[in-house]
Order: sequence, then C-alpha cells, then structure tokens
Amino acid sequence: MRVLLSTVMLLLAAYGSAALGAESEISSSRFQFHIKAVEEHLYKWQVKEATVRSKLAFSAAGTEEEKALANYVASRVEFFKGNYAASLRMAQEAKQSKKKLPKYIDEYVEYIQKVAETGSMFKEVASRNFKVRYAHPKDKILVHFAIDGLEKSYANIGRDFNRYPDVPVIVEIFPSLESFSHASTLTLREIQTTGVVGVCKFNRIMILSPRLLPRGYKWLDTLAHEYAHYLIFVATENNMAVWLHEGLAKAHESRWRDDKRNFLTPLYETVLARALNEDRLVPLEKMHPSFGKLDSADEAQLAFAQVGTMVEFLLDRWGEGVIPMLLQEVKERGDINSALQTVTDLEFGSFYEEWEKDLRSKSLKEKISDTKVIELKFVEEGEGEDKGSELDLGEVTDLQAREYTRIGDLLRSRGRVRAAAYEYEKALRHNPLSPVVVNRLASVRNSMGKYVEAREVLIPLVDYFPGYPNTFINLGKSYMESGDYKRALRAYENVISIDPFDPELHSSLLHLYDKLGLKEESKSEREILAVLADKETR
Amino acid sequence: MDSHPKLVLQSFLDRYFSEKSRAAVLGGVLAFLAAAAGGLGFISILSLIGSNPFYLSFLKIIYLMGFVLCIYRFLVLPALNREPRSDIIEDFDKVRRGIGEDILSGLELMEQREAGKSTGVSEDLVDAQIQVVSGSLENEDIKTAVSLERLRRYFAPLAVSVVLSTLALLFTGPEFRSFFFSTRLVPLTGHAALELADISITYKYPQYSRIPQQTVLGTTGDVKALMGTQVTLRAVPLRAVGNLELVLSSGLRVSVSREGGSIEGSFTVLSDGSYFIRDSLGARTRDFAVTAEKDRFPSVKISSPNTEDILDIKGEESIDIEYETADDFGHTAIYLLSRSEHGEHIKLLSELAEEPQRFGGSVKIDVYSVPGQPGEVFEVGVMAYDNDGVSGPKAGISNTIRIRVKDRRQEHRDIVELAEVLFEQLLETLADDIEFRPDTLAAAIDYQAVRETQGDITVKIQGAYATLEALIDNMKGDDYSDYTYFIGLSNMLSRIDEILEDRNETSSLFSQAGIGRFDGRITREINEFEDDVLFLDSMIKSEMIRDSLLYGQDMASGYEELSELLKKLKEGVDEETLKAIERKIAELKELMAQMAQKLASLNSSIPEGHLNPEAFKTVNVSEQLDEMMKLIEEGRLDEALSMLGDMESQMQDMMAALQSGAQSFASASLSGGIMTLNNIVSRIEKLEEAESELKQNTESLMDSLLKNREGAERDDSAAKKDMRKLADRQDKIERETYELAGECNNPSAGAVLPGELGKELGEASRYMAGASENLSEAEISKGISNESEALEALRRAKASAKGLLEQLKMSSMGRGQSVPFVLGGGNRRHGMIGVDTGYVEIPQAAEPVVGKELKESLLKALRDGSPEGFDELNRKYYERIIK
Repeated sequence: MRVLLSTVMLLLAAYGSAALGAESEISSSRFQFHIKAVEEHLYKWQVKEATVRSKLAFSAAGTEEEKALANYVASRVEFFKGNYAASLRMAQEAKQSKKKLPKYIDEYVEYIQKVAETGSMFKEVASRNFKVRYAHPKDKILVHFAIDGLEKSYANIGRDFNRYPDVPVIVEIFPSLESFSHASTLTLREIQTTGVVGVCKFNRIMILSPRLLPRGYKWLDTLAHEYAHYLIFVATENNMAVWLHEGLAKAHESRWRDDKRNFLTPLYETVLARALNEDRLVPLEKMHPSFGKLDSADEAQLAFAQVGTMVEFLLDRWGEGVIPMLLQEVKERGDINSALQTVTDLEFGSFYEEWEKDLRSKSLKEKISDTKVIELKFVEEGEGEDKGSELDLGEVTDLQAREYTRIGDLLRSRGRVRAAAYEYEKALRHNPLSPVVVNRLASVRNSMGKYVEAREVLIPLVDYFPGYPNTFINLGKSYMESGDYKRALRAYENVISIDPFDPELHSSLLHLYDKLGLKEESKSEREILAVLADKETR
Repeated sequence: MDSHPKLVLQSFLDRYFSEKSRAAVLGGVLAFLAAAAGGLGFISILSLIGSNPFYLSFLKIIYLMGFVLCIYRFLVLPALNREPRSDIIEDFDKVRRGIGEDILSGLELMEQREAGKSTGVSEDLVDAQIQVVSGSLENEDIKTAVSLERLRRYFAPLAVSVVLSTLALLFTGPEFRSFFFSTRLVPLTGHAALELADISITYKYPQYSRIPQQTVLGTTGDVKALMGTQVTLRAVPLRAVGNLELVLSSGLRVSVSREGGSIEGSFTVLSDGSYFIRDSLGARTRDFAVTAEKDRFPSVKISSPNTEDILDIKGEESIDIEYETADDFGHTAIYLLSRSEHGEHIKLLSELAEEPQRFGGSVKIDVYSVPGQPGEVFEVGVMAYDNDGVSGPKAGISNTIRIRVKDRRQEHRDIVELAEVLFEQLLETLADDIEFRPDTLAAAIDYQAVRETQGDITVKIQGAYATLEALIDNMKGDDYSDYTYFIGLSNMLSRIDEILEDRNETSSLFSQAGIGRFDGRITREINEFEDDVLFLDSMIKSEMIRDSLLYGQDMASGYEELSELLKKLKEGVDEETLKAIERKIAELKELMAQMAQKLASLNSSIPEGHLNPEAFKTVNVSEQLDEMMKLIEEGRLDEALSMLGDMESQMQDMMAALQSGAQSFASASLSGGIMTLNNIVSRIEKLEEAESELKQNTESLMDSLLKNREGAERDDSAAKKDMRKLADRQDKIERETYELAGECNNPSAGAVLPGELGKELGEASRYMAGASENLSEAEISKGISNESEALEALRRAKASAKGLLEQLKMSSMGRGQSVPFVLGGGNRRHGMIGVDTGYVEIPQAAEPVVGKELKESLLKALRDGSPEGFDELNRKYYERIIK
C-alpha cells in the first residue's frame, strides 16, 4: 500500500513537473511569435498591427531576456510611430537588462539615442494628413509650403496610386547634415556623392532642410517623391523592387504641382541619349538596395532617367490604371517580375527590351553639352549662405565662357552693366546653356530694363535646368518689372519649391501679393520675412 | 735822601709808577709786533684766494684797521695809564704778602689828608701809618715788584707770527707784496709801470694749419692767433728793469730774456686771456690781450636730395647723396653716418690724404648700405673730420635726410597694389571701350562726340600704360615677383604700346568711311583688355595665396621662437622671459588676425577646387594662445609646450593645404601659356628639322656637283633643277618661319612669350630667304652658309622659348623664379613657396644694375626692335637660364 501510494505520488509529481515545463514552453513560443509578428508588421510598415503585437509580446515575456526583447521591439514600434521619447525610454530599459543582449540591440540603442537628440528638438505642425516636424527656427517657413505641397501630393499621387494613408504621415525636416545622416543611416559620403537629400524610411519621410544647400534643391518635389515611396511601401507591404520604387516616385514627384507627367526633360533626354549611344545603361540589379548607394551622382542621375522612363513606358502602353494594379499585384505576389507579367503580359526580360526599344525609337538627343552632376556642397553651420558669385564660376565648364563670365562679374560689380552684359553674351556664345552665365546675363539685362531680352535667355533654361532657382528669380523679376504679376508669381513660386530662404524672393512675393490684393498670402509673407529677419534664427 | 715818611712813600711810589709804565710800554710794543706780524701772515694767506683788486684792497684795509687798533690797544693805552694803582697790591704781594695793601692804604690816607678830607682817624695815626709803610719800604727793591721778566711771554707768539707771516708773504706774489707795502689802497691795474716800446710779435702757427710763420712789427702787444700758435714777443723796456718774467693770465710764468736793450719772451696761445711782463722790482706792463682763434668745425652739407620727406628705397633702388664739405684748414676723412633707433652705423667714405679745405662727393645709398629692420626710418648724414692736430680732429655733421628701407614684403605688397590699380584701370578702359563703342549701324553718328569720348579713353589707356610701366619697373628689383608674370606684363606693355600708337592715327577714322576700320580696332582693344584683365586677375589671386603663405611662415617662425622662450622659461623663471613670451603671444595674435583677414579674402575670391577647406581652419588660434598664456602663468610649462606643438602641427597642415592650393591655382592659371609655348617650341623644332634636312640635301648636292665637275655642262640643267627644288623647299620653310615670327611678334593677348623670340625667328626667316635666293641663282655655297645661319637662329629661338617654358612650368608648380633672380640681380629666392625673408648680403652691388639694364633693353626690344648687341646679350642670358 505504502509502495503504491509512493508510486502514485511520484507519478503525480512527475506529471506535475512535466505540465509546468510545457506551460513555460508555450509561453516562450507565444512570446517569440509576437516578436516575430511585430518585426513582420514593421517591415510592412503596419504600425497599428505592430503596436498590438508589441503589447502582446510584453505580456508574453517571462524571462528577463524576453522582457528586454519586448522593450526593444516596443521601442522600435514607438520609433516607427515617431515617438522619440518613448522609444528612447524603452530602448534604455532594454539595455538595462542584466542578460547579455544581441549586438544589434546595442547598435539600435546607440542609433535611437542619436536620433532622439534631434527628435527632442522637433516642433510639429499637423495638417489633415501629415505631421510636419522641424527643428531649426528658420525651417519654420518651410512648414506652410510643405503642408500645401504634401496635401496636393496626397490628393494627386493618391489618385494615381489609388492609395490614401489612414493615419497622418510623419514628415521630418532635418536641421543639419549630421542629424540627417544619423536618422537616415546614410553616410555623409553617400549623401554628398549621390545627392540624396530625402529618404522614406521607418514609416516616415525625412528630408534635409534646403537651407543647408547654397542654392537649395527641389525640396517640394523631394517631399512628393518620398511620399510616393511611402505609398508604395504601404501599398506593397514593402515588396516593391527598388528600380520601380524609384521609377514611380520619380515619375510622380512633380504631381504636387498638378503637372502633367512629362518625364523626359532635356536633362534626362541627354543623359539617356548618351547612355544609349555609349551602351552603358545602369543594370537594374545595381540599383538594389538603394540609389543612394550607387557609385556616383551621375550614375544615380542616369538610373533615375532609366526608371522614370520605364514608368512612363508602362503608363503610355498600359494606361493610368496600371499603377494601382501593379501595386496590388506586388503586394499579393511579393515579386515584381510576376506582378509585372500579370499586369503587362510580358516577362520582365521582354518588358525591359520593349522599353529599351521604345526609348531608342524616340531618337533621343544630347541637348545639354555638360550634364555632369556637381557634388553637393553644404553650407556649414554659421556660414553665410551667399558664398560669393565667383564660386559657381567653376560650374561653367567651357574655359573661355568662364573667363568672359569672370570679366563680366568684375564689370558688373563695378556698376558697368552694359559692358558686363557684353561679356556675358560672349561667354554665352561659348557655353549657350550655362545656367550660371544665362542668369548673370539675365540679371544685368533686368537691371538695364531689358526685360524681354532677359526672358529670351531665361525661358529656354527652365526646361533644361528646372532646379536652378536663380532662373526663376530673374524670370520673376523680369515679369514683375514688366507688370506681368501672375507670371511673376508663378516664377517665384518655383523658387519657393527650391530655395525658399531668399529674403529678396519673399520681398518680391510680398510686393506681388499686395499688387494682386492677396491679403492672406501677403500676411503669410510678412511672417516669413519676420522669421528670416530674426537674428536668433540665423 | 728825604727821611720824612711821607716823602719816602711818595718817592717810592714815583719810582714804582715809573718802572711800571716802562714795563707796560715794552709789553705793548711786543704785543703789537706779534699782532701786526700775525695779521700780515693771515692777510697774506687770504690774498692767495683771489687776485681781484677789490678783494686785495679789502684785505689791505682790514689789515690797516687792525694795525691801528693794535697801536691804540698795545701802545697808546698802556702809555696813558701812568699810575696803575690797581696793580700795586698784586705787584707788591709778590714782594711780601700784605705790603701792597699797606702801601695803597698809606697812599690813600696821605692823599686824603693833603686834600683836607677827613680820614676818619687822627693825624698822628695817619702819620704813623705812613711812617710804618715808608719804613717797610726802605729795604724793598722796586724791581722785585715790577719785573721785566713778564715780557718774555710775548717772545714766542712774536717769533711764530713773524716766521709765519714771512712765509705767507713769500707765497704771495710780488704784486701783492708790492701793493701791500705800497701806500695804495687799490692795486695797480690799468697803468703800467713798465712801458715797452718797439714791440714785435712773431707767430709760428701749428703745422697742420700750413700757415707760414710771420712777424708783425710795431704791434700793441696784444696777441691774436690760432690756438696752438707759438708767439714770440720782442720789445724795448723804457726804463731800467730787473729780472723779467712774462705772466699769463692762466698763471703760467715764462722767463723773459734780455739782450742789449731789448727783451724777448715766448708762449703758446692755448686760450683767450692776457699776459704782462714784470720785473723783479714789481714794475709791470699793462695787461696785453691774448685772443686764441679756434680751429672751426668742418661744415658739411648734403646738397642733394634736398627734402625733409622720408625717402623710400626699395629692392635694387638706390639714392645718390651729394655732399659738400669745407674746413678752415682741411679735412682728413669723410664718413657716412646712419642712425636709427637700433643704433648708429658709421662707414668710411673717403680718406683725404691731401687734406683739402673743400671737398665734394656723392654716395649711393641702397638697402645694403644701411643695416637694421625693414620699414625702419634711418637718418643718414655725412660726417667730416678735420685735421686739427692741436685739440684733436673735430667732426662736422651735415644736415640729415631720412630714408626708409622698405620692407621687402611691404614692397611686394605695394607692387601687388599697383597691379590692382592697373587692374582697375584696365577694367574701366575695357568697360569704356565696350560701352562707348560707336554704333556703326546707326543711321547717323555724331563723330565729334565719338572723337571726344575716344580721346578720353586714350587718356585712360595712357594712364594704364604708365601704371604698367611703373609696375614692371618695380618688379625688376622685387624678390617676390614671379618672372613669368613679369614677362607676361612686359608683353602686355608692348601690346598696349601698339594700341596707343594705333590710337594716335585714328582721328582720320572718325568718318563714315573709316568708322568700320575703327570698329575693328575697338574689337582688338576689347580682346586685348579682356585678356589683360584676366592675366592680372590671375596674378593678383596668385599673390593673395602667396601672401597668405608668407603669413603662415611668419606664424610658424613665431611659434618656433615662442617654443624657444618656453624652453628657456622651463630652465628657470625670470621676469624678462615672461615678458618676452607675452610680447610674442601678442605678436602672434596680431599676425593671426591679419592672416585670418587674408584667408577670408582668399575664400571669397579663389575659385573652388583650388583651395582645400583645411586651409582655413585657423580661426581659434587666438583662443589657444590665450589658453597657453594661462598655462604659462600657472607654471604648467610642459602642457604649454605640448599645446604649442599641436598648434605648430596645425599650422603646418594649413601651410601644406595652402601650398597645394597655390600650386593648383598657378597650374590652372598658367596652363594656357604653357600650352601656347609648347606649341611654339614644337613648331620651331619642326622648322629646325626641316631646315637641317634641307641643309644636308644642299650639301649633298654640292658634293655631287664637285665630284662631277668635269661633266658640268651636261649636268648643269639637272643641277639647276635640283637647286630650284631646294629653293622651293626653302621658300616653304621660310614662309612657315615668317608666319611663326609674325605670331610671336604680335602674340595673342595674354600670351607669355620671350621678347626676342619673334626677332630670332625673323632673323632665321631672313637667312632662309637669302638661302632661297642663293639657290635660285645657283650660288650653292652661299646658300649653305645662309642655311647654317638660319639654323643657328632657329636654335636660339628654340632656346629662348624653352627657357621661358621652363620658367612657366616652374611657376605653375608654385616654384617660379623671382624677377631679380632671372635678371641676374641675386639668388635669393627659389620658388614662390620657400621664400627667405631674411636679410641676405648681396656680394656685388653692381649686379642688380646689370639686370636692370638688361631688362631695359629687353623692353626696348619689345617696342623698337633689336638694339645693338642685344642678340648676343640675350643669347647669353638664355644660356644662363638654361644652365
């Protein structure tokens, strides 16, 4: 009896301990499942779902190591949601674990600490569909224009892609090169060589303030471009191939202006024509994982031209509805080639050949003699943004044109505008499409009251160098002085999309708004001028 | 003997008083004599103090008053006091105690009774008293009471006084004794007691004066002569005289000899004063005046330059100083004297063995003549020493001129400033040319307005030309000016000169017919000025970089000095070193501020790509220096030294970045010039090759002709045909050479070409033309000779072009040679970077002049063509460069 009782008790004990072990195993498995789910949702930028899973992971975490992991993923979720403080707090809690954590968590904590520094400085302005953040006081003036452009992109690109985010999209304007580099995880070298000034990453749009470039950049186009990326990420659950990602974004970056797509600008035509002639198109594989990691800005320029025209080819051949379909297919299939085949009935190889054939059939011409992309130069902190007229002389590639321009500059600085114009005209004969020379000539012609002649040289430049702000400044001035205020306004609005920090631009705009009786805009311009004039914001 | 007591007493007293009086007189006499002698001695001693007549007179009066007083005191008073009763008691007590009193009371009683006065006692008692006194006196010797022994006490003082006064008197001059013992109360001054006649004076002047000895007869006795002159006086005294001596006012006495009736004495004139002659009897002449004429200081005057302004000398410049000197008896040496706050510097200009009284000369002042710091102001004067052998050579110093040796760096900055002025002038001229260019398409042109406007522009071009000339001239002696730019500017001068010449002939073009041609000239001018502006722009920018580098060098050497000071301080703290460190840090801060300014201007004017941003990371040096000073004050010297090491390293980085920027910029700026010159060298080489081949063919033809002389007639036409072919070939080479010469003579604006290149090629072309003619006329030997000459000329041209090409290449690497170096003015600089700013002695002052002359001829050649001897000079010059 005693033996039997002992046996039963032993069996019970054995069962009990087995049952307990099984429960612990089940709990750990649940935790791992939630963690994996969080990662998957974050990969697909499904932040809501990731949040829920993160909470479940927390509740499933049993061991100290699991709790640390739960904190880590929760931090990532908060980071994706744009909550820097919460993200940092959780990351630090994860790090406080006594257990040795994987190296990637340490690296993540280090990363989040750096970006949280900038994050803590951000001020936020929310619109219906966007949360625009800025840190530098001067960047405040960007917010108004950014929201305007983004909301237009929301409508136009949303229509093109048939996608509308259900939560406000975070847009962050970084105040310095370093902070942008940290947040984007791009190195400074990558930013400078390939000219990456915006990224869509971690469920947000990040751009560099145009204040940091001496002549700004097309920052509103960049915002639209990155917004297109955002939509693609969300729509395809991050399954889109880089080349089409960039192609779609490139092809839609001007949609905030309601512009019709006309991707084949003289610049891209030239770049493509040269590449086709020299048979040196960038292989699509090389574009992976990021355009920012291509060898040079020239290569990136060509890559953009290629993928942009591929999207145009798609649209031209298969119509406007092809994009939403393609996005859906990519989401469902997780593979661009099969998605493309489904939509176009062409294998990828055939599609590529068709595109190249189509491109060659257009008999593209090298319209611009020099398309070399100049490595980005950034304004150092505390440095004046006007770097002197002489510095951009290096951009005039023809030696004689450069020399005549130099003489023109010397004469202009001494008030001899007629003589300066003569020299610039001579320079132009050697380098007819130099934006540097054209703008100098236009500027002196404007100052001589020769507005029509100024426009004669400026207008052709718009298509060739749409990102050159001086062209629009001079055009604006020319129109304004001629009394054509509407055209002047359009020209100046172009400048805003490139370099909105020029006080002269806003003075002119203020003048124009007053002339046109646009009181709200006039008031807004006064506020911008006040921000620009505030010494503390310099 | 009267036996009555009264009579006895009376008689005794009479004898006593008589003896007493005699003793008093004798004592008075002795005392008087002692006082008189003592007074005389005292007065004699006092007379040695001065010889002023009034003083001596005063002494004599004092003595006489004392003398009179002594007579009264020692002689008169004792004589008057005939009955000195007061002494009775004292005198007679010596004989016997109490008797004196008895005598005196007896005497008084006797006198009272005789006077009928009551004595208070009876007559008998009076008589009895008198009788007792007289009775006691009967045996007394009056001589015992009045002893002459007492007079002995006067003997010693008297003897001492007499001896001393005698000695004192001996020390005094005879004048004083003569005066003292005379009846005069005032010494003799104006009146000579000794009269002289037939006075003659012989002057024997100092040898250095070279004035012959001369005797002046019948003079007054006054002497006037050059200091150091020996004077001999001869005269005839008008009365008998004793021993004579000539006494100078200085106290010097000279014996005067007598010969016959005349006397003779000599002395040397050393100072103004007087002399007289006296004899041993005290007679003396009047005072004769002695006037010593002094040797005058040499008078020295700088006659040129005559200015009070500060004169700047720079580079190889010099200032000619012309001076004149004069001295009454001549000078022996001329010196150049320069003075600054750092001290005085004397340099012998001329030794004058002839010792002329007048001398004129000139001296060349250059930067090597005056030591000291650049930028310092020197006072320069001429100093002359005379030949005065008596009081020693005296120096006369001229008026001074102020000279400033310009800081070489400052000098170069001035040159750059001048280049900037030229730059502005050319820009303005260019703008005028463009903006006031007549509109040839206009329906009507106001030619008068065009004429006036163009006249104004011509004036501006002339102004620019003058500035350019000055710039080139200044560069000749400037160690920091790059030779390549110098040549470029020289070419520019030549071209602008041509423009001005053209402009002088344009007045006829201001018409409907000529305006087209004028417009063509304006186009040429515009092209020229455009290139000139660019050339100067590049030059000025290059200078800016170089200037920054020089500041960097100064900073680096400042750091080095500071490091030395810190090491010294580490050995032991001393106040002086601390102060030196403070000063050095202040200097470095100032230097840094200047450098920062320079770098800022560089940043805004040098095109991107040439300057590495690293070059500008110097802005916090001032703060670092402050921090370092703090460390020093806290005694943390090792930390300060380590910090200084870091700063030196930073500076080296900055210098390296700047240096690389300088090279990059120079290379970009000069690449066009190098390309042009390379092209020319290559073309010359091809011409040389072709000409050499032609010469070989000609020589072969000649050889074959010589060999086949016998069949000459048959081959004549074939030979002529061959020669014709050679002549055609020569024509072709000649045409190419001529064209190249033309291009070199009229180089495109902005080109940097040696001035003589076109001339050499022109010469080659002429020889080739000669050869062609010779060959055409079958003069084959002459043809070969001309071909040889053409080849030589081509080789010289090639050497010239290659020489400059080398210069250009060196300049483009930032190691351009300085203008004076190439022109033969020195060897101070090797490249634009490693400049040495220190003072370097130039061994031969004449060298820069040679260089300057050479340059003059170079420039002249550029304008006028080849002067005589120019070719040879240039050939040597280029040989030197190539070596």
